[in-house]
Amino acid sequence: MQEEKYLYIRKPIPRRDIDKLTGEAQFIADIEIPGALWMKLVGSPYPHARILEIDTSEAEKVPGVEAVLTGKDFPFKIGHHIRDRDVLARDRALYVGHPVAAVIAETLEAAEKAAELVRVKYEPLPYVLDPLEAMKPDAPLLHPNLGEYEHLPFLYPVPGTNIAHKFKLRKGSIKDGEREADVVVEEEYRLPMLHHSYLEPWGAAARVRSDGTIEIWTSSQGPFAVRTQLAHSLHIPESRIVVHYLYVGGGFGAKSDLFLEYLPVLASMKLNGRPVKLILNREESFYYGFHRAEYIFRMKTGARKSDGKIVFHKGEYIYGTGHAADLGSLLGNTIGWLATGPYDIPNVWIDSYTVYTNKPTTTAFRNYTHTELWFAFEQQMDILAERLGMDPVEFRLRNLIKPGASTLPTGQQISEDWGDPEGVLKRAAELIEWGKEPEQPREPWKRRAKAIVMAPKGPSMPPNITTSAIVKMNEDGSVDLLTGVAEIGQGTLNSLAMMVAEELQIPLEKVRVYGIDRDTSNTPYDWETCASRATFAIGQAVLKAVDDLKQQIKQLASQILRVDPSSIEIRDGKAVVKGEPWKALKLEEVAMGYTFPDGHAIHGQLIGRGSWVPRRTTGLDEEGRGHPLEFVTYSAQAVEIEVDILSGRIDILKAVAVADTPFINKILALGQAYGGALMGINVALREEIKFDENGKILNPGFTDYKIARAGDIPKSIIVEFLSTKLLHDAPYGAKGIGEVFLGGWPAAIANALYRAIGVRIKRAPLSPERVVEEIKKQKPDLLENIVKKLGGE
Amino acid sequence: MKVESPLTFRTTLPELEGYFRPKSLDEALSLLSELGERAKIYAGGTDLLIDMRLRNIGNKVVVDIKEINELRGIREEGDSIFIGATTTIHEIKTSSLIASRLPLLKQVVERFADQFIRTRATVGGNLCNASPAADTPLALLIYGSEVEIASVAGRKRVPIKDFFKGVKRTILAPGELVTGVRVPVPQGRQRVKYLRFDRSSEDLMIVGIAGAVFEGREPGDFEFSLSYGAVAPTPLLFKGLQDAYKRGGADEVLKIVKEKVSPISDVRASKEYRMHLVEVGTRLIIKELLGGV
Amino acid sequence: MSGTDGEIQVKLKVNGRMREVRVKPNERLIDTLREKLGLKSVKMGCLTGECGTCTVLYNGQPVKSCLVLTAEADGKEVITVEGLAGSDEMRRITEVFARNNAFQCGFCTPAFVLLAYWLMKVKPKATDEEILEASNSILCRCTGYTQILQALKEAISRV
Repeated sequence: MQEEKYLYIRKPIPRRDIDKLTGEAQFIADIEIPGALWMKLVGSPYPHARILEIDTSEAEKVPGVEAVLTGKDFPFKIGHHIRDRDVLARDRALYVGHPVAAVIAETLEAAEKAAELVRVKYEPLPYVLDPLEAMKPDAPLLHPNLGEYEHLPFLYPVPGTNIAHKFKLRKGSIKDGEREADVVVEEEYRLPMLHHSYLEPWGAAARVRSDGTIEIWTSSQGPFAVRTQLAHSLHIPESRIVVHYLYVGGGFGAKSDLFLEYLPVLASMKLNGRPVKLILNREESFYYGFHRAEYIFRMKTGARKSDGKIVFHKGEYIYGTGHAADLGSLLGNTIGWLATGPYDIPNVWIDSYTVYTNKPTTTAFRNYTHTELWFAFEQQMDILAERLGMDPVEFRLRNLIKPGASTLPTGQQISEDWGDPEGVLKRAAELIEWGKEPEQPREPWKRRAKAIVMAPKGPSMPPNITTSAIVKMNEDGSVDLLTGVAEIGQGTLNSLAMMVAEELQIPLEKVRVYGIDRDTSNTPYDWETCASRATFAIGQAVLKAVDDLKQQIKQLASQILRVDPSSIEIRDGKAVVKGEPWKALKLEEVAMGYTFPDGHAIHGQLIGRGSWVPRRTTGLDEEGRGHPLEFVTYSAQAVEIEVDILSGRIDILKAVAVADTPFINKILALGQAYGGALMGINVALREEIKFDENGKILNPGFTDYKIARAGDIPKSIIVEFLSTKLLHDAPYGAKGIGEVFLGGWPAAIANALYRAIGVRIKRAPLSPERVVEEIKKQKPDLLENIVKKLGGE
Repeated sequence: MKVESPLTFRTTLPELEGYFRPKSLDEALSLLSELGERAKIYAGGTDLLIDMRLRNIGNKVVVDIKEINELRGIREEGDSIFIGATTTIHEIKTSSLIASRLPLLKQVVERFADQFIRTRATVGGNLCNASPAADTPLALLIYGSEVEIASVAGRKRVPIKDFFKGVKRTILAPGELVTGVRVPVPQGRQRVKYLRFDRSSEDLMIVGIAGAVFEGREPGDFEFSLSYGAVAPTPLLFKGLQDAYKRGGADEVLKIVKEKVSPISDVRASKEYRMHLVEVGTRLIIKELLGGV
Repeated sequence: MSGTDGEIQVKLKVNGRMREVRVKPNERLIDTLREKLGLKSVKMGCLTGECGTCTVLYNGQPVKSCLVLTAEADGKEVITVEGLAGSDEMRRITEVFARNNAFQCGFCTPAFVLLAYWLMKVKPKATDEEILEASNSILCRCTGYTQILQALKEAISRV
């Protein structure tokens, strides 16, 4: 590749959003809306209860209270994918924390005081917290009217059950596969609900203007997603809704869809348009917020001894979505068609279920079900390899898909330009020094081992989503770039600016990118900032817009310089006639069109526009056939761990991540890698929302939901980007990298633990307590022998 | 049918009935005597403000004791070291006097929360908050410290092992104020070790175990003590374990310890795991401190 | 003794200027700075002293302002990132943070900027271990800390 030809691309260009350093950057809690009222929610203390009566009279007497709203004020269901959410719980509360009332007051103090005075009479009902229990025929039903709920056509709810959506994938014949298999591994894996732990608690504000426009400020990864889903949920035309862009203090998927924006919107509608804001605190983010679901994977996989090939994979994948499936149903879908990871397996049978439970609801979590599926599948791979007596890397190499030749289990052809899965695996093996035994520590209770897993990412997105970009020239020859992408920390705006400067060969300082000074009415549409697609999709729209602008510049310059447009090139901020560099026009001379010496003017302001839609994707049919992916970013991750057998604590000595994609900006790409890796490692070792037996969250804050600190980072972390192939459509070949670095760590750490001490843990997280528990179950001698050596003579 | 008080999660602190900032101990004591149970003492605030927001503490009159000079500082007084109640954990951690004379206390505060919290949190607060998972008592117990308490009625010293009464409960009566803690400095050589089991680089302890060997005048003569956090309603002290150790090593020590520890299961760990940590942690500390004895 | 059962007059120096505020006894420093003085760089992330996004320099020390009552701040000095504008230190911090990609979403960033400033002013010879120890007081969910730690080191290096 000719990297050196670029001015900016691939370079470590410093970030430009330095208003985040000075306190200028405004988040939802920082904006002042004159006259705004505060909303405070009142939650159900029961996981499932009939609401008999709500007495708001005492609350209404608190000075400053404007209104106390309950479910009765909103007698309809909302939802985008499936209409299964109440605005405020109506007949029944479905989880501990389910908002049953909303107090609106002049001050937060008054709202909080009044919220405590709302009195609710409940009749507790039987409830179900575990997704497997919830699937049983006699389980308490969360949604008895499931069959009547309106939903999108590709969802398949099962009325009369807690199954919100069932997805099927069938390929080949499991019976044939079973006949051929010499070794069969059947296991069950589980992962708990997680809190995304965005540091900025979610919040939103809304008001209805006198012309009927609904104005919304929200901490969202997808202002347009909020607009679309709100319009659909409330039967309001999109054109009446304006969503403002704000800085977003981390999203990680939680803020990618409609959150609770409908609450301030509906409250404002009830209060003659007065602005209403709802800013959650951390505990409320846990109780009212959207989480990563819990997962259960049941897998049966068979392989042949002769060549080490996997011959069949049968899976039952269960996604515990909590009380609503509006956002979770799609994730239940995705685990279904991701099915077999990056491996070529001839016979596949998958049933995936999205299951209601009496818990908070769930949504996308960075890496959109990939991390979770790899936790199961990549352990399954190591177990199979061991049973076959094969090296786990060799076993993977034999079964990896071959771009250009293989298909996904959905039948989609895997394009050669998606990259080289073999290449990333081999490179990760080199970097972790696979085959070289780690040096064991002196203490007999500590053991070290390595493991490698595959952790590709195939961004899942609707097949018809579009995005656009506008570039307009200013009088001074500078360029403004307008897109719909939300800045949530990833730095896409920086990368997009680099693309514009690169293409026009102008100084980066001459490209201005619209940041939070945008709303959905003055910005081209973009779906949302998620699925590692911002650079890939919006980047393409930007390149098209710049191309459009360049054509206009050439056209105009050709008229002025009286040459053919094809003989004009754009460089150094000028339109120059090839071979005759003295014939040139500065961009500022043509930015607003051109004025001839006699005052006659032509063309007017130069504005380029570009749009993008996915080229390769389709929906999936009832048996899971279709083309879900634009591309895959192949990645392998490897670890060397040290486990303390006595305390169960696992330390990451070395973490290696290799991804097959070039990047736009080197330091931003590394930032995604380091951040993704630490999040994935922390998810593996520590994270879990804990519920008591009544469905109440026990750790609704960072005191007991531990997210990683600087002191928790791995001793050594190595990140490498390969560029084996340049993806045809991608800007400068760059695929998404926002999620791919998250995916492999839980599986890699579990596999390394097994290789260290022979203990297999199929439940995340691998907390010290769980490690000790499993050692005691699986290898009691190991512990007893060490304890004997300690202290006793 | 049940009528439930609602589930709400507050952002604001409860209304307070007043805020006072006495400048001298006498002023503070007469104020505390006047206010009685309405008073809530405010030092570092790192526990108090959390408890107030979560409404574990209701409407109170806050008495801020940070301006009282007599309550500050670390001083050597004869054979002991006096640490004023409002001395911060950071000051203890960076004190050369503590490092050289009370190395176990230094080890313990090194694992205390994080640096910004240590800058505010005080030793008096850590004692009076009476969390079973508090760090400083584990060292102070082993050194045989005394808590100094003052009220309008006078002053007294109470051995720290008698100070804690239960989870978040101490012997302090309304009107009483902890002015500091007096720590006897061991006269001979000391070997100390703090083992703290937790879930990340900043955490409340799951189990904390502090151990010390104080050598006597005669060769082979030593005193061995252990203390435990988060395994009982109060921090636990075991003194004079050297005889048990000499009799039967770690097994014999553990027999004594296990009779008194009674951990609970909570969000941080199960009872079983805490018992396991008591077992292996005790053995590790013994190996470290007495392995060569 | 100073004190009252009503509102309290508090005089404090904020970002170099003397300010007077009337506060109720239950008002936190974070509330005063954000709501009364408009210093929105002080973020409300958890209100339990865990996340550190509300960090300010309080009499020269980094402190979590969600655990401080404003009533005690009479006569004290507070610095937030708004107060660093135009300083040589801030120019250097901006340069090293941008060059190292030491921030992403920006929510914890003011706290880390204050930490950088504090290191430059108070601990210019801090070792890597001391930088790590201080950094452990602030949570960041985006960056994985590697690039922040690098920026902090460069902020105090004399290269």
